Amino acid sequence: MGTIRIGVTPRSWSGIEAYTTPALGTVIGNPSVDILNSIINKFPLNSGWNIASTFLNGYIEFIIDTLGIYLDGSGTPIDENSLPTGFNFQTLNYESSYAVGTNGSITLNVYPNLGASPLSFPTPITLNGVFNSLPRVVWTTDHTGNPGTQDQLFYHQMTGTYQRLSTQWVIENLTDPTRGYNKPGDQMQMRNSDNSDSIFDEITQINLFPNIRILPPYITQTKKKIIFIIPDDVITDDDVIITITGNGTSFSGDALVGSIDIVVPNRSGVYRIISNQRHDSLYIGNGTNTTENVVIPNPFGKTGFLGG
Amino acid sequence: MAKGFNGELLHAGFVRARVSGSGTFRMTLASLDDVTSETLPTISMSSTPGNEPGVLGGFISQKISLKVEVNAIDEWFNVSKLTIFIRPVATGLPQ
Repeated sequence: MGTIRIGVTPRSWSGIEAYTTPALGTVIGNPSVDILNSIINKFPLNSGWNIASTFLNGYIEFIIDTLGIYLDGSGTPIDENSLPTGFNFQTLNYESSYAVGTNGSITLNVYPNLGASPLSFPTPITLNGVFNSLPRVVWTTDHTGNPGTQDQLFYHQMTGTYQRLSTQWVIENLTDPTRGYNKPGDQMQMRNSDNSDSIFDEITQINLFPNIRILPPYITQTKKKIIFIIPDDVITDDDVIITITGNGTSFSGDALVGSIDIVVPNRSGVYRIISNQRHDSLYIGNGTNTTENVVIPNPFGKTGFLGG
Repeated sequence: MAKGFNGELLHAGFVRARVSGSGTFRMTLASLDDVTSETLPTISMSSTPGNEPGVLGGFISQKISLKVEVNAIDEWFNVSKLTIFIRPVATGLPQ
């Protein structure tokens, strides 16, 4: 019954983990390098600024070779190369800063990928769509103080957004595709117009305006499609608005899907009095959404009894 | 003797109506409990009839009521006066 477009607004990452290669970066210079918690094999970057401190002569280089992404509501990170179908990176920002002590100096360069020229710094650097290009961060220090004296503090953090791409959806009547209208008890199918994978497996509730909620289990629910039955307690034959509720993986809250026409046969109705109309209009109970005018049962008047 | 019903048998012989409307105006004379009845000739109505038509009847009962009605779709009526002509024809109905 028509094509339906769904769009979900961009969301922030609920979490990001960055993985570095090598595990502690490449360190050249003073072997007594002291790298604190920040630069480890896996470090969360979504929680704010992370700190590392060194006192060395040389440089530290680490390569961001992959990212783990927590989608909304998910407790398991997803590799950025394994995002569900339909997801699209919007931005990923890497920011770094430093503070220099009394015993040295520092330069810092961020490269968008191996072999490229460094990006400008220290302004926040946006690495859009370069996750597969191994962005590289190089901190170069010049330690002149006593061993064990902290000279440089490095700060870095990573933030980003993603977006669920708009998708062309089709909702169709499987019970009688040629009938031209839908009614309670019909099996309805939602799928991508190109039958590709989508997010139908993440739907936890289908809502029909105004207050009908269709909960799992559905007849069929996979990534590609979902099949459900129009419930008997639908009470309107107007365009019924459909929204879906997600499980938080792709989206949370409700997303508007569109509307379908539903005809309710043999329903109870609302009686509306129309001025100067002298017949009743009844819905024909065959689901065709047509009416028939019938006589009001013999309006009459009767006198009192004559003869006292 | 108190006025009122004394068990007489009445004869209704004529009914005249000031009625406007659309369709066919139907009148029925009936006895107590509608045990017996007589359907009177119908009156074809208009919204501006210009007269007060009457119909003949011949119904005899102790008490008599008159029912007026329409029975087809979109018919309607507006009655402002009904005159029923009756007279006693017997003093009682002994068993």
